[in-house]
Amino acid sequence: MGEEKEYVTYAIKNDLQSLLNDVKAYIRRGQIRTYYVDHFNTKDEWLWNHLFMGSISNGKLILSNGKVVVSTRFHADRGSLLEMRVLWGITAQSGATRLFGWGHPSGWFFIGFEMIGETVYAIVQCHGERRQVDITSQLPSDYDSAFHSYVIVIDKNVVRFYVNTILVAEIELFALTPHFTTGEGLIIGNYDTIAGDMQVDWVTIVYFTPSEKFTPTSQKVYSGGGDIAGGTSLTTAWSYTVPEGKRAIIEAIQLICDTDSVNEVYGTILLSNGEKSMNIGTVGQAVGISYGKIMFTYPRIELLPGMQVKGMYRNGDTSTHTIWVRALITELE
Amino acid sequence: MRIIVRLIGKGTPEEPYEVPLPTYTIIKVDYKTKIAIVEVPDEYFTETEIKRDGTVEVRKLKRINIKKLMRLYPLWYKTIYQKYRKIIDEIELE
Repeated sequence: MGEEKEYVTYAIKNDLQSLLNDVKAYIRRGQIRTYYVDHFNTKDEWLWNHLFMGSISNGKLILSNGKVVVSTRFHADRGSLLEMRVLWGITAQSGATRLFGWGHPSGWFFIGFEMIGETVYAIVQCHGERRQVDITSQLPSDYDSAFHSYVIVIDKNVVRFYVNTILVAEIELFALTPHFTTGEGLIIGNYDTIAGDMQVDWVTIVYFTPSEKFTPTSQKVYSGGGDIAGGTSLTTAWSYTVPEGKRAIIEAIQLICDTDSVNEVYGTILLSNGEKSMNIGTVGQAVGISYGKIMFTYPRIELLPGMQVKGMYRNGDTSTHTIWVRALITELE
Repeated sequence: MRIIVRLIGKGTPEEPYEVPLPTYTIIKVDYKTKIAIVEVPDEYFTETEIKRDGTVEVRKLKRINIKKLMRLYPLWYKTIYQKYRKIIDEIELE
């Protein structure tokens, strides 16, 4: 826990400038990719974008019965640390249902701490499979009435759960929901009807390089196109999707089109997360915009599980045109 | 592995012609019949079994190993496969 503990120490600093300096140092060393902390001084509209049913009082988030807050700004990922300083408000007892961690409100994905009846669990749940460890006996005796630090560290293949920096559970990461799933993110909820508000002092999110590095396992050029006949509709010549448990990098892309002066004759490469797409390169002319005839770049974009790259072409002219769409993709495991 | 598969889509920016598989490269397309010859990873048509003695046996399948693809590409399985399962289930190695 050495590195993660150090991150937590830095994360709770209140002085913004020293905090930023520390974070920049970590980023320079390649240890942190993104960073966020919410002290609940006010409701942070930017972070809690999906659902906010709680209230703020004296720098604390207060969740009475039936209240839930959700953020989809951040997502569970291999190489992430989530700390929440939480006061449960009640002891584990019949009828209790309270939770916090990474999750989806409908419950098909959850990595976090959950109080269910008389037990508090550390849980990894995904696609109908649930693995849990009873941590009730490892909680501090005053967990119902005092704030304690609860940390979830997702490493490459394992999720570690800490309470006050003490490891209380270690569960294999058997699946991880692809990013960008609607509604998936941070979740804190008090679902029961037992008197005693749940409170959260702060939330910290740190993304770091997983201790077990990903190593290249394959490298392939995806290539499509050639002499494309006039009147060819938009066609996805190739597609690459990152499998679960892997990462990939778009090392280089190459696009060629023999003209950029004829409308609707073009080649393009798109990056998609399953819901939305972004264009990472185009040649030829599309919708009246000329993009040039050759594009050769090294985007070095890292892809997460479920993300898809597509090479596409279209020839809306009446005569044949030469169009190539290529990408060199390295798969990591 | 090369397979023959029916394209989906309409050839428009909203719905381009595509192969309803996560990873593939089109080798040749017949736009009249909307049929394509496509290269896909070999592992789509294999099944791996770990024997009791620890040895690994890889068997070739005639049809796509949907269970494996469901595990590797859960988002694809929930969306594309559910929508085009009839086309995908018909794909067979020659």
